[in-house]
Amino acid sequence: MSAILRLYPRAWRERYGDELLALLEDRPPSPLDLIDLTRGAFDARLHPQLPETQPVTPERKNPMSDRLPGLAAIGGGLLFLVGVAMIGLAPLPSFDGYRETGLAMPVIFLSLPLIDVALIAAAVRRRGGAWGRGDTWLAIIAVGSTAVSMTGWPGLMIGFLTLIAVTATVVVRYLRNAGAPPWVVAGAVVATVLAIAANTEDDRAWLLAPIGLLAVVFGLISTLRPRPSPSVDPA
Amino acid sequence: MSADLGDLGRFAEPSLLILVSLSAGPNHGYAIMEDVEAFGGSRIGPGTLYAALARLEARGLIEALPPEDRRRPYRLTGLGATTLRAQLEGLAGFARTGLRRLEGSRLA
Repeated sequence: MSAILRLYPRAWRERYGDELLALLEDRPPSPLDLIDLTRGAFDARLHPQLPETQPVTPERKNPMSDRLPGLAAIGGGLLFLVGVAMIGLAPLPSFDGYRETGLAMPVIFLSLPLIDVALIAAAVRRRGGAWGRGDTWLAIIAVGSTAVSMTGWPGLMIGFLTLIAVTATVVVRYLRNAGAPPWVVAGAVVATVLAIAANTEDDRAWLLAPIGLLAVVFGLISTLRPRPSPSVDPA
Repeated sequence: MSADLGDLGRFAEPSLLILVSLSAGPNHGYAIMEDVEAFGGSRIGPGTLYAALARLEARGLIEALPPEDRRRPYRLTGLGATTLRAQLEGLAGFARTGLRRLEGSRLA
């Protein structure tokens, strides 16, 4: 039920959201009520009765810094997709084995820390801009493991496994905190399952693509959507 | 002094029903819906209810009281009571005129 509330403007939700949810718990909505709520949401956006609150924070003075995490996620997602395309389009080997992926893996290795740092930065931004020690360490490990993976064997394997672990940790820990809608979170789960089934030996290499697509989608949402504001005093 | 409900467009009628409901005392959203259904015979959807409540509150015709377990009661303000009285007197005059004319005709 809270999903339909997300159609309403933030200031409206903060003012009326709780009591409307309580009402809908008392009186479960019929299909007509759902249409009525949707109309109400459009009305609230077209004819706002409450002013949207503007947070007074240093970041507001520099909108570009607000957009950086989103832009980094878009960049990381596109880079990841380029890497996947390089694998997917590479000629299949004439004998059993892996495709000649060339620079594809380094490109993917560069894209993942970019996505990781974007997610961490977006979550930090939503919290008000203070980087915690855990945030900093995860970002350092994400970037560091990529650097290690470029040093050749056995750094390649150590860096790769570390990067995968850090990325998984960052996605689980930060995706919702960074402001990703529930469907993006669900998409991340699906993309991860698909990625596990990916194989560079055949066309299953393309199963990696949803990860890059999701990073791009998250980046677009994060860039285009204004950052949340402090709660409105309902009194 | 009273406000004009005419500028509320499609929310004028639900707003009037809400004002009538609150004239009996403070009430929260769910109770207002039930009350309106009981005395008015018409149902207000939750989206319409809160769109009208937001308009009435923004115009100072009703005011919110502290919430009670997530349910926030609303009550009529002085301006809301004056506006409601003016609206009902206008409707009463309209109804009297219509009835008088109907009685004077041969159709009644």
